[in-house]
Amino acid sequence: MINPEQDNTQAFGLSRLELILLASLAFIALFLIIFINFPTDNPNTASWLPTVQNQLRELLDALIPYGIVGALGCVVAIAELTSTFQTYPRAALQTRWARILILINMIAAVLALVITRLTLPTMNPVLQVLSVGVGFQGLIRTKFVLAKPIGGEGEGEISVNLGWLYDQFQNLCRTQIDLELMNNRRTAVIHLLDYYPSLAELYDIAWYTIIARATLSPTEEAAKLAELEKLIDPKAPEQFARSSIALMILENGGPGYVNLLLDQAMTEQRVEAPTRAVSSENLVWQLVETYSLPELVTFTEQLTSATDVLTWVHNAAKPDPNATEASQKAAIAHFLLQQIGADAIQRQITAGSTTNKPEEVV
Amino acid sequence: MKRYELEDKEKKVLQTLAQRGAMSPSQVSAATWLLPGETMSVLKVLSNEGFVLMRNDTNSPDGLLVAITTEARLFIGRAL
Repeated sequence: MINPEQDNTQAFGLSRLELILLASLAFIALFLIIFINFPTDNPNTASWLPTVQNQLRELLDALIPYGIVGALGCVVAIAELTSTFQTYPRAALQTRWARILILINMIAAVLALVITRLTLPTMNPVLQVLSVGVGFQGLIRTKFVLAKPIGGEGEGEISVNLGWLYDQFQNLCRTQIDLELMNNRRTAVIHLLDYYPSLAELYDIAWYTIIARATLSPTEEAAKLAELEKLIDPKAPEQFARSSIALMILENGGPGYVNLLLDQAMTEQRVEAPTRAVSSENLVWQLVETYSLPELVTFTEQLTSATDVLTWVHNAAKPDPNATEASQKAAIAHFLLQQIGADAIQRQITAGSTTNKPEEVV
Repeated sequence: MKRYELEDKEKKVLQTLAQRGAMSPSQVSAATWLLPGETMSVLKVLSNEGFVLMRNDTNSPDGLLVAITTEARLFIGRAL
């Protein structure tokens, strides 16, 4: 489902081969429709052609009712699947077990029509198609309650559950589809964590995803935001928080949205890589790990002569019981990045490293 | 949340978090021009009052992440 490395060979959840096959079938069907319905008037055509056209028309007339009931079975199965897997309807339909469920529904409907035609040959064909196409779908999902105790709530009733067998099969399909989707979900979460490793970024994306959803009621939105805040709770382990927030993005935004986020991250990487040697975040890490607090002050003095910036950096570097050295260094690094810019800092670092600056500025 | 009156520094920090999303305390310092020690004091107070959530984050150089709560977002929307 989600593989940022894959080439664009999939459309509508079908592989290129399946698409070619479908296009060929559509072309053949179109050709047959034209061929059967528009007999040629040309006297030079072969004598067997009108006979073939008539036979094909009769065959089509015989097959159309089966096609209709099969299509109805297919629609009902798709509706069941999409309502069960509302977050990932497209991904659910692409799974093997979804295809099995759809196919079984189609075959069962066609078989039901065959049986009806064999047992009730005199019945009106239109009525046959309607009763099987609609009635059969309802019948295999029905439970008839023959007797029910007064005031009883499902206990002690006498019933014939015609839908039991279908329920079992549907449950099997649902479990298998869920397991197949589980792999996809895990892959999507891993990719999200690879491209968005920062907890802050993940949190912001999750927050935006929730508030951007148009179909959520205010109560649902509040519940989801509360859930997100629970995930960022200090008691939750960091890795668990990151994975859960990534999963939350997937659950709320869907696979298409996650793919968009991954594409965006990959594009940014491709665009930034040739123009900038180090990302802003890496630059902050580099400043924090390479320089001491006095070195950072000297570094700032070499970068700028702006009084307000220098005063702030001088004050930020002073010992403070409320702040750790790491937080002081990180604050100065972020401040320099904002006030002076990444390129100037990068140039100064490079110049410093070639002339062994850190030792000189102490 | 207990209080309904915010100090200027607290308002500044909450506004920054509401506008720019979750970030590290050092980023809050840089964005608000508050000194790192001041920022930590303000964030601790806001965290105790339920205005912000603070947790550890190994991806941040100062090891912490801070985010504004939904309640605080609504509160400053009304108060500011």
